[in-house]
Amino acid sequence: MMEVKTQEIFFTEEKVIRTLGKKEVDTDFSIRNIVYYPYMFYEFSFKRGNPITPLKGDVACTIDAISGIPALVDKRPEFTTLKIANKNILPIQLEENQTVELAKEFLYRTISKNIKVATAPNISLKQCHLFYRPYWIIDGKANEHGFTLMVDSISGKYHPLNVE
Amino acid sequence: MFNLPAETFWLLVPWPFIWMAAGVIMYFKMRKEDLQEEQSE
Amino acid sequence: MNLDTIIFIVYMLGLLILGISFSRKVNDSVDEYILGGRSLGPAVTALTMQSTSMSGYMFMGGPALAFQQGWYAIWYAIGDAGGSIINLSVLGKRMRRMSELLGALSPIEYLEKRYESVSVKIVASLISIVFLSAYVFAQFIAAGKALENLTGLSYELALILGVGVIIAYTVTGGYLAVVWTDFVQAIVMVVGIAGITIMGLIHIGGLSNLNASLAAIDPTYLSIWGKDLAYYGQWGMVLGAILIYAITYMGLPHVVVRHMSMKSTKTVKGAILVSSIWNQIFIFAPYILGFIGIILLPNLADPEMVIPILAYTFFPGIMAAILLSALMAAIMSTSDSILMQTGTILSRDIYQRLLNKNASQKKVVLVSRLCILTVGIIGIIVAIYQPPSIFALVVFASGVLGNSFMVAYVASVYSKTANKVGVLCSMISGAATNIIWTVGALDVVTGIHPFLAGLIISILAMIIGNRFGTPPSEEMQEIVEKAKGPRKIPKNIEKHISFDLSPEAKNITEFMQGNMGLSK
Repeated sequence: MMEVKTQEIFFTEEKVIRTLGKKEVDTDFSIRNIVYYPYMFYEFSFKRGNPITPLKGDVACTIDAISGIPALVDKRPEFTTLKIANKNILPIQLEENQTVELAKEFLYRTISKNIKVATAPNISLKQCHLFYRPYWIIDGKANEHGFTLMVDSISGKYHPLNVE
Repeated sequence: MFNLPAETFWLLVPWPFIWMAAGVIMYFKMRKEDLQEEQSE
Repeated sequence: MNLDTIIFIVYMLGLLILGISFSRKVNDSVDEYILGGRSLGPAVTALTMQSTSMSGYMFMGGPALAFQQGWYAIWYAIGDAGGSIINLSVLGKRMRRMSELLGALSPIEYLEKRYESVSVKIVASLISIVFLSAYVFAQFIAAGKALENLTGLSYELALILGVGVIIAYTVTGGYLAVVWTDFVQAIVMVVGIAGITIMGLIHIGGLSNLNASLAAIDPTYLSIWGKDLAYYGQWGMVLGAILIYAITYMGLPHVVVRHMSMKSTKTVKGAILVSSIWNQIFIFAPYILGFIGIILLPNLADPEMVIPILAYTFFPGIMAAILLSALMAAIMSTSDSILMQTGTILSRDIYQRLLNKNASQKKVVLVSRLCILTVGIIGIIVAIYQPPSIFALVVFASGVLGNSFMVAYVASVYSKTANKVGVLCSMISGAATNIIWTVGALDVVTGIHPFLAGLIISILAMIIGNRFGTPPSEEMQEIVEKAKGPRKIPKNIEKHISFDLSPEAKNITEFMQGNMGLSK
């Protein structure tokens, strides 16, 4: 068991099966398991001293702690602490100093693309958290064909898994 | 047919309508699915 | 200073004030700014992007071809209007499955992962940015012409002024590029184009009379083979015309924007409907205006000026000036985003990754700005000393991008043994052939379109080059095999897969395979 920060599940077991079942009536869905995927959450404060259009505020992103892929965050997540069995937790593959660099680079890239600044803006790290996002692993069976999906338990987005 | 030669008319003019129809069909298909989902919740 | 110049300046100042007031409003929440106009809804965003991104081409390039070739030009419009639909259904499925399996988020990352080679990524991004710059050059020329018309300055002076404004805007400001101001541009342009088209058709007496008048001038304007049947029987030319815009988008090195959404999301059906109808109006109308120009403006010296001159013919000068100002603003915001992307790729992916690994963020930003400046200067030189037609430039850029990437993409899913040496040969020789063919005007000598020549050579290069490379890893061959076969997932489930989760899915798959005993 491990105590980790995680997010509250919005698509509960029952809800996720119901949602998928409504999409495809002839398929049986069953939950195989739940896995917790590690992300680093970074919040930076951002400042530009331009007198005409000063900008300051906070920007947040997550870095996938396995492949290092960044994503913008649209709303500050709320974390809860839970005890989770190790077998359900994906192991982190990146060092913290690697992920923070990735996050900085990503934000510089995004900021200079969307706000267009003549020089590099000042950003400073406000907070960072390692958290685990729960994904459902779901088996589906239709006409003797089996398949497996992973479902994001917060947004309900899903993607097939390449496992037998 | 707009004074176009038959070849030109039949090879060119239907396309905008085909694309538009494809777009409209896609729209209604997706709307139907969304409605189904909402009802189920 | 004439009235048009004043209108132009007032229009630009108006946008600046709009932009600044918006950016002041979002002052408190930078993230809202960065997430960029998502509150507008997908329909508004799609519509805005489509009409502003090809503005220079639609206003000047497309109508010029229609003016010169007649109905043959519509082939290009057909490919443009339906390209994305074709693309999704033909190549789409396998490629989507493949990128899921590879965990790739953008087209170039996809190539890098499929061919297991960083050099593929570097060559692909270099080709992409060079020819994306050619799009920007086309926009520059359009900007020069729009400004020439508005201010009465000479073309050269207008061009330098226009490009100067674009560069300054890209590097220092970008306040206009708030989605709202882009939306204003889109509305002005579409209302303008639709207005001129309706006025023109009324004036001429409808599409039937338009065609009758065209036939009276030269019946071959109405044929599908071009004026004087220039391309008679050349289905290869027609196919090229249709395909050229459909394929190009795969070469665009855009990074898929990934949001970590913290709540559930809804499908974006509205965007599809709006853009499919919108496309039919905005893509075909400019070509119709080219036809109207043949009749109403028989003595036109510069075919690219069809729409601006028709605008001044049918509308009071003020409205025509507003239309041209909107065009100029749209060109600014499009060029700005492509220039930005070029600068980012050159500074981060080339300079920082290959030349100076320890460069500070400030230095990287500086390098990216210098790159943008250089592209701008080259653009001005090209546009003044050897101004190609906007149409030729856009077709050239699209053709080279298509030639470089089509074989690479098709082979990536249809051939298990396609390897990195083959794909490098095919990308480089495809691009090179198109460039040599176009520059040397070999199509006149051989009767073969540069796009077709590039396609043939790139296929040959793939076949020959592939013999010299080591075959892809067994793991990769397995993935290709998997992407080929039908998936066992039911249709309705398959349709709503979130591709941005591909990297996570790949890792979870690996995790589960290593822990199968545990997780059961």
